[in-house]
Amino acid sequence: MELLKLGLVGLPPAEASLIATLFRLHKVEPSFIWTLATMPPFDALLVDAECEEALFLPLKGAGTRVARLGADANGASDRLSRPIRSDLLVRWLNAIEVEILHGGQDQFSSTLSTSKASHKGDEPMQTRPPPVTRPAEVLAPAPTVATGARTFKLRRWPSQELLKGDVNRIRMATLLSRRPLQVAELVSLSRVPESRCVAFVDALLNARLVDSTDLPAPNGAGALGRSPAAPSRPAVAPPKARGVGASLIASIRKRFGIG
Amino acid sequence: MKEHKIIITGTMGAGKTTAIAAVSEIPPIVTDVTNNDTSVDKAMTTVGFDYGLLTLENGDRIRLFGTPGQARFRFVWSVVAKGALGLVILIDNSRPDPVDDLKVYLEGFASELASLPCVVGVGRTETHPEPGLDVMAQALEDMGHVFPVLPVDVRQRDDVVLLVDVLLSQLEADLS
Repeated sequence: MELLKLGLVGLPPAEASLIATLFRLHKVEPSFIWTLATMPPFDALLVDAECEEALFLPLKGAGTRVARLGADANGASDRLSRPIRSDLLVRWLNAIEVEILHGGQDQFSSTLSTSKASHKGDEPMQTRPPPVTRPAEVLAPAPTVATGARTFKLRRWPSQELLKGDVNRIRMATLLSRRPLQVAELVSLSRVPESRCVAFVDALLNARLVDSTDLPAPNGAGALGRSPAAPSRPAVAPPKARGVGASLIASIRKRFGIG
Repeated sequence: MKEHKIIITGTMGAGKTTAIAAVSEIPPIVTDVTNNDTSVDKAMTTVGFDYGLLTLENGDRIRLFGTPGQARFRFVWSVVAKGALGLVILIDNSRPDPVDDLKVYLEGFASELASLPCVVGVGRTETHPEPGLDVMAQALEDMGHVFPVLPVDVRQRDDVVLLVDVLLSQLEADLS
């Protein structure tokens, strides 16, 4: 598998060392295809926020993605906040990987092997019962995806018509069924190009199958100056406490031959 | 070497044994006896646990357990589900009331399903399209769950692998 290269510009030695350590930890995952490089061409550059553009411009190729590492990213896609977080760093790298390696196209071209459609050939599709609506529901216009920082959580599994037997859509719906996700998180977890993630979430919104929540402002503390409460999570031992980590999941996928 | 498990449950005849056989690297160990339930056209039925195995590159093992499907064995469901990676509920859409069948397993594994990844695989939808999968999804929503509901032919390895993939995606979402 082709390795993608990340370069570091202007970062303090301790921070560069931290990133190198994170890379060594993630390398155990078969799906992690990034490497730290010191020579161009770079697929991505992580640059200190104070670094002058003239210093890294010569290192930047036509397709090199650049992110600034600074005090407050404010949710910008080309910024990462200090102190650096492994999950956010990997999320940024995953988004770049999807763009570079999959060229904005579907990673998987196949649909379900047996494609459990209820019809074949020229046979008419089976009629299905109409979607159930809640009597008291006020049908306000469906919100769209691209309205600020929002999270989306599936509230009912989508119809087969909406999923279209597409493995990527099934995967995205599965991720959204588990916990509220921002589009950026969905892109990172699903490895599906952002445009397709947005289109799918839009379809779910139009079908009123997701609940969307606006994220609080980055500095949105409560009246008493406390940070907003984190979303509630299931009150059972998290996967890592049960010995389940990203490497195990990757190993199981590899064993089953899942891409 | 660590061991992990995936649990496959469902009604008698839903295809638990077949699903394990589709992906296990060893011939499944089957604990069947003669079926004396004349309402189900099946010669044998599982009264213990079907067992399959997959070995990962690093030596870790994934054990596949198929639970006995009859509700009278419900007392062992929670025991076997403890510490599992995920739960697959197989539903036979040709049975008289598949939605009610689904509810039996949702209730039987209620405490585990507060956090355990779960996927519902519905079989025989080609010959028995009703109730549709949307009805299953609605039933799940009514019970406060949002689990993937997929049509499945457990004789097809790809279909069983997709069920596993869906469980893994749920685990990934939990990790991040």
